[in-house]
Amino acid sequence: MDLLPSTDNQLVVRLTSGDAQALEQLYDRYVRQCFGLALRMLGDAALAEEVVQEVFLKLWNQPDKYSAQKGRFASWLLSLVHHRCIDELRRRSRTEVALDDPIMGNRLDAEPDYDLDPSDRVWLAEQQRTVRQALAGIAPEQRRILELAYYGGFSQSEIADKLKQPLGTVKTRMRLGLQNLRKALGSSSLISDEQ
Amino acid sequence: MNPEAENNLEDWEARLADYTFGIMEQGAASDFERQLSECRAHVTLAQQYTQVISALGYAVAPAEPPSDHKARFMARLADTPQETVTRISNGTAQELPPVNNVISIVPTPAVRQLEAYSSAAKGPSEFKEGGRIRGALPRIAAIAAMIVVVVGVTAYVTARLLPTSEPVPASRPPILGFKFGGLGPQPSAQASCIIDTKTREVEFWASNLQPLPSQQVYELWWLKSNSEPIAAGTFTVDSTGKALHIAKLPDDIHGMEGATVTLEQAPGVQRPAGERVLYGDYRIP
Repeated sequence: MDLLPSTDNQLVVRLTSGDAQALEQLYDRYVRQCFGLALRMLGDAALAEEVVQEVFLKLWNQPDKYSAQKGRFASWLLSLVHHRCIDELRRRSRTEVALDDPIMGNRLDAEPDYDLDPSDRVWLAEQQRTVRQALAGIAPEQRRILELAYYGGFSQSEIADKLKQPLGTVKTRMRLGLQNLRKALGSSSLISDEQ
Repeated sequence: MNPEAENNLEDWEARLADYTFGIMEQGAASDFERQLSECRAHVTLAQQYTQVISALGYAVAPAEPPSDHKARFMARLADTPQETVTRISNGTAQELPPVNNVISIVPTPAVRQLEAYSSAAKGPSEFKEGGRIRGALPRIAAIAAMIVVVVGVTAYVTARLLPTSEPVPASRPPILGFKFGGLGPQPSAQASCIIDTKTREVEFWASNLQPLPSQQVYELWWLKSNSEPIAAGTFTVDSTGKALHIAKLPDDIHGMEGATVTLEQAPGVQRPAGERVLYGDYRIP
């Protein structure tokens, strides 16, 4: 029988019993993705480090906040990082982070980074490729609004001000962008699987 | 749909997007959450938005944190005792009792019943085996102490899995699990059950079990206080002693006291006859 390494869900169960090794495994598996996201959003390595540590500590203290019905564990973990970064962005009165900033780098439609270990991160690399392809398939004006909302933490009203577009236009583009992205991701495990 | 309703829907979806992106002001977000919980269709749509928006996190290239990041994190972790808080059925948070008060090392009635089956099957020589089982009890307790939080979670699943007339909550309970410890001739055997509370499907992962000759099988049994053990399927292990077995919880989980694995000489036995090699405590009143 060919057995896989512990699944994320198994490790989360072990976390509920105070198993620090399970947390270490999850850390090893996802810290790069989490740090990459935090760095992308905050543009500050020290702050990104702190956010990532806080998120993993939160996972340690409240593993039962996750349930399989919330989707994949990795998605949920990234959403914790994302929300924590949003809080940080809003707290520091939204220091403007340029989407094409050379430090922040990697626009969403840029070439994915395939320089990953072939074991645990293969799946992440595949998701990266899938999501980037999906993003590349939607209209640029829709993608830009999604980028500003997701990475910049801007509300639709703020995006409308920033882009000097009517709020209604922003709302429509965001809605259509999300719908189109969902369609593009439709067959991926990120959308279709609950696990 | 009339234009006004359509506008309302678009406006609602715009607020949903702000909410899901995490960019809605806190007060407004709380109000919006209340609205969400009142309509299942809204919950479904919100879940769809969440899935799509969560996916955006994968688009960013991973980045290597500083080389000492992990060491600093693990040091911080060592200074941070885990908050052993879980939710019970009424949704309020409750501190788990101290470890020593949670797990009884005395075999439950179902375990005693199972031991009786084993004794009957094995005859007088079982007395010695019974001693080994009793000798293993402190070990069970140690394992059980390690999973004390899971016991608290057990109370949670009890209420969640039982039929109820309460509305379905927006957030479902977490996945649940419990661990097994090795018994008798296989003290180093380990296993854990991962329970999907939605489907009742169980993933049973075992390791350090002895590989078996052909014909012999391991069999998983659910133990209940007032009934005979319930067969949950047979399995074998690979050359390294590992196995993954998929099972289902019984329809009626009242009186559930745990699960055990026996080594059977052949598949298809009606009641456990072989030696017990694993035991996991999983109590549901």
